[in-house]
Amino acid sequence: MIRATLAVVVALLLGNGMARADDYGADSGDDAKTQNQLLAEAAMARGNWAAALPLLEAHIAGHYDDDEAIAELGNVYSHLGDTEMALQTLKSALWMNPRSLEANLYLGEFYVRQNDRTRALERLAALDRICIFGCGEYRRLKKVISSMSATVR
Amino acid sequence: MWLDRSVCAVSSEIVRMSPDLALGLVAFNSPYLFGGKALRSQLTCGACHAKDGASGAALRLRMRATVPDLRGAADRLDVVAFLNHAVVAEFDGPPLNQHTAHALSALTGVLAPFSADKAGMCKVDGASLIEIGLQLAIFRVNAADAGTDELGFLLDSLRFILGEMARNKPSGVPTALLSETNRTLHDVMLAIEDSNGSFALASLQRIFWKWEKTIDRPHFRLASGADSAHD
Repeated sequence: MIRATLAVVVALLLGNGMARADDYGADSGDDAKTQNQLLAEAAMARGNWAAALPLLEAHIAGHYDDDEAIAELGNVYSHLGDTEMALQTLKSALWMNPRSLEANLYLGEFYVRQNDRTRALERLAALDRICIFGCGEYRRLKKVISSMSATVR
Repeated sequence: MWLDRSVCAVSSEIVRMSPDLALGLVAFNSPYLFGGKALRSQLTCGACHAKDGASGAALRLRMRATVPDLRGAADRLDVVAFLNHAVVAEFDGPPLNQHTAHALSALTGVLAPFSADKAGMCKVDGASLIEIGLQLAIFRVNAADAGTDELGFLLDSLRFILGEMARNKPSGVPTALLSETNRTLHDVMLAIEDSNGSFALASLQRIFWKWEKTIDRPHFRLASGADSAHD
């Protein structure tokens, strides 16, 4: 029930993006979807967020329960400046999996971009609880928060 | 992993090593050198290079470049440049801190040769790494010569090693000590960020003494600085 509801939510969130993904050769086969995810990761690693967007959307269209990919999609929206979609998508990923390292990290980074230190620190605290022996996501968010101006809220 | 006889001359079951070599050992077993997927997978140098206690070639990854035997490479390569290339180009990591790069370079020169007879060599297991790393942390906090980033790398790497020990039972170390050490290192980092060096130092010394009483010999000692922490 939860997943069925989420599929509707994510589909609504994705909107027209699924159609655009076809431009990149997406099809219904698992291999092609995995390839989409790999290509999206490569694009994100280069900071090419616009290229990553349709690839991720195509991947999620066939893997609507992939909370890691949905968190990455939210991060892409965030980098592209679509704050409303970013927040909704990242919160969806976190709702699917509250212990998701990616969702907590990217949502924390989103709040840093919005100069919302309080909420960013909440995500850092969540990562601290999840990563019992520490983790790279915690280190990364901590570093980003520490670079924020002391004057932000 | 095993270290060569040249650094394992034992007197009273104590092996002495430089702070640089200690940092190299911790860095070799840290996932925080790398970026991208390697960081997500918590991949370390040691995960691939020290499978048989020596400097054998990588076993798990398909690399773009040939992976050399590290000890052999130390004699014929610019190890610092090689390490920088491996971390940045192969693993999408940030450029290596030069201190860490030189420490890793020092380590490659004393790794036990692959498939060598282990007589006279010394084994560095998880507990030894914690003992070595705690002394290095005490040394650096005491000397106040390390930045927050460098200490963060050291302490977080030690926490990762503790996690590996907790997952790969039996480690020979009580679970309670692993947990207490993890909490201590977490709190020490917060203290360092708050410029509370005295609390950090006292906490590190207290937990180091507990490890001293717990682990099997030989004990590893830094060649300077940390000796005063336990004598």
